[in-house]
Amino acid sequence: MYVVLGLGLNIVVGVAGLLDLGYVAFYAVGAYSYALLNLHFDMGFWAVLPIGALLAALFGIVLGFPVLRLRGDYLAIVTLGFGEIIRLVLENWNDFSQGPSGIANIPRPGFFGIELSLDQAILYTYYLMAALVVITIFVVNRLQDSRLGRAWIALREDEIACQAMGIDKTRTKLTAFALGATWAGMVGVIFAAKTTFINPASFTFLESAIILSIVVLGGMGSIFGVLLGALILILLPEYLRALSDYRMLAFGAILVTMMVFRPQGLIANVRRSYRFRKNPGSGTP
Amino acid sequence: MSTPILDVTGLSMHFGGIRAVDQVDLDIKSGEIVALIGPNGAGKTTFFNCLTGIYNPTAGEIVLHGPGGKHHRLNGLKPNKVTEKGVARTFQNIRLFQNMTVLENVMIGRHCRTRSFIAGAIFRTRHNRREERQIIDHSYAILRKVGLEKSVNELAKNLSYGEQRRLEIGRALATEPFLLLLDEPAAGMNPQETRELDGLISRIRDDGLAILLIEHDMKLVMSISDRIFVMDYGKGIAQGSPAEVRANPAVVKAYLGEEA
Ligand SMILES: Nc1ncnc2c1ncn2[C@@H]1O[C@H](COP(=O)(O)OP(=O)(O)OP(=O)(O)O)[C@@H](O)[C@H]1O
Ligand SMILES: [Mg+2]
Repeated sequence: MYVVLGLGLNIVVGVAGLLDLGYVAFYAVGAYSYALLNLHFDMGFWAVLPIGALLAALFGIVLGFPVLRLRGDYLAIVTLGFGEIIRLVLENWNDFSQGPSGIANIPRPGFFGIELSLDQAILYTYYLMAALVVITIFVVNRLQDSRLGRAWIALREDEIACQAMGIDKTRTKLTAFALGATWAGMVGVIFAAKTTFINPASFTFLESAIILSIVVLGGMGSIFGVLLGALILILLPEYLRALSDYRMLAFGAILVTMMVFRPQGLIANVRRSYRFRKNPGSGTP
Repeated sequence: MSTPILDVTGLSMHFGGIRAVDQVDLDIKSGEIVALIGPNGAGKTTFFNCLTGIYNPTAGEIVLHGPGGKHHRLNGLKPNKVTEKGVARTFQNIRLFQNMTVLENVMIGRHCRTRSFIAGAIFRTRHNRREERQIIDHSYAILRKVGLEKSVNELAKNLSYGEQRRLEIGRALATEPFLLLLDEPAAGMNPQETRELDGLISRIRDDGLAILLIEHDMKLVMSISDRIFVMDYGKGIAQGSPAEVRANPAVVKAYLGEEA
């Protein structure tokens, strides 16, 4: 799950260079879409999956529109605030979200109307997750190697030069932001289906921080990097259990060390190379 | 030939009390190479920034006469819109995408002439693959024109200074401009590179582009320009052929006064 979240945030932070500290908010939007739509309208997993993704994207656009004018640190702070606002709303708006006690008995995903045993359902959800990972890798890979993906990377490099190349800065950033949010929304829906219970405590800033760490540790803009980062950050805490209380401290230390000694992450993003014949006879404009 | 393509009248850009550009008139005709010269801090780069939408000018009119007799008022347009209208530029302090390859830098220039978006990127239909192929071919052809075809896969930051300047020109050409603005393209080049640049600019003009050139290298300016505009302290102080400008006492005074 963290893999997909990492890859989604990677579009926003790693590729387009927009530091988003409130990423978990979109994840929450997805999870609560499923929980609430199911509770009130009895909608199934497959119906809500696109709706949750869409709602998250919508939140992304609504938040992104005013906020993406800000740069770097300011953007980080506003997104951080946004993440907290979503969580606080979920915690305090009891009529809407049942507050801190959360929503329970969320159904697992259906399988063409066939009843699954508990074990089967858990396994099935796990496969779904794996499928989403594969799809995400595929999509992110294609995006990176496209007109749009290049524009994101270029925006991270130099905004003014980008505009001088005819790139619409706001539109391009908003697309990255909304796409990242879409992915978080989808994972949110699956998360709710997997755990069958959600409450606001699942969506704290700590989650955003972990996802961000995955991207930073693994390598900004690199798919393999993110996979590796997710693996390390999920498994490491298990091995560090002995240190339990100092886990977060170790976390922080690792990140700071990374920033100082290898800011491009464990696996740096390698630019694609192209091969040319000496004389591309036709097609020369 | 020689239909006007850019008319700038009374252009002013004030920063608080600083009149960086003050009531400047300038015009460019098609197929011309026009130089904009002046001592340091005269306001030349600021003038470019007004033309390309980076600044919204305090006063004045910028009118572009596009191909097919279309007129566009450029004041207050966003930079990407100005580029779409057919005006491209390079930067005095090189602004390449340093961590992208040489080819990718030029491919970014194709952005405003191509359309593929999210769905296109993900599903890669035939149409999108063809567009991508065209972007690559077009970009490669441009790199051959600016003499960088050997470095297509280098990162931009690994190029020499002179090569980076040429790559900036190539990237600007990729947007298919009919007016090209060059901000000190010879800065940092050795005499050999400058001579090659002279040839490159002439070839670009022969392809039918008009060029407005800011440059401190007087040898280059005098040899290549059809007309020269001179700015000093934000004001246009002279214009004419290279010979006229060289003989103009106001210009001599501006330059000597700077050194005194
Ligand atoms: N954004 C800005 N805010 C305030 N002042 C500015 C700004 N941009 C430029 N200036 C001022 O405008 C004046 C003209 O600067 P400009 O960069 O246009 O000169 P230039 O002719 O390009 O000089 P050079 O030959 O050194 O490149 C300078 O005094 C500069 O300090
Ligand atoms: Mg300048």
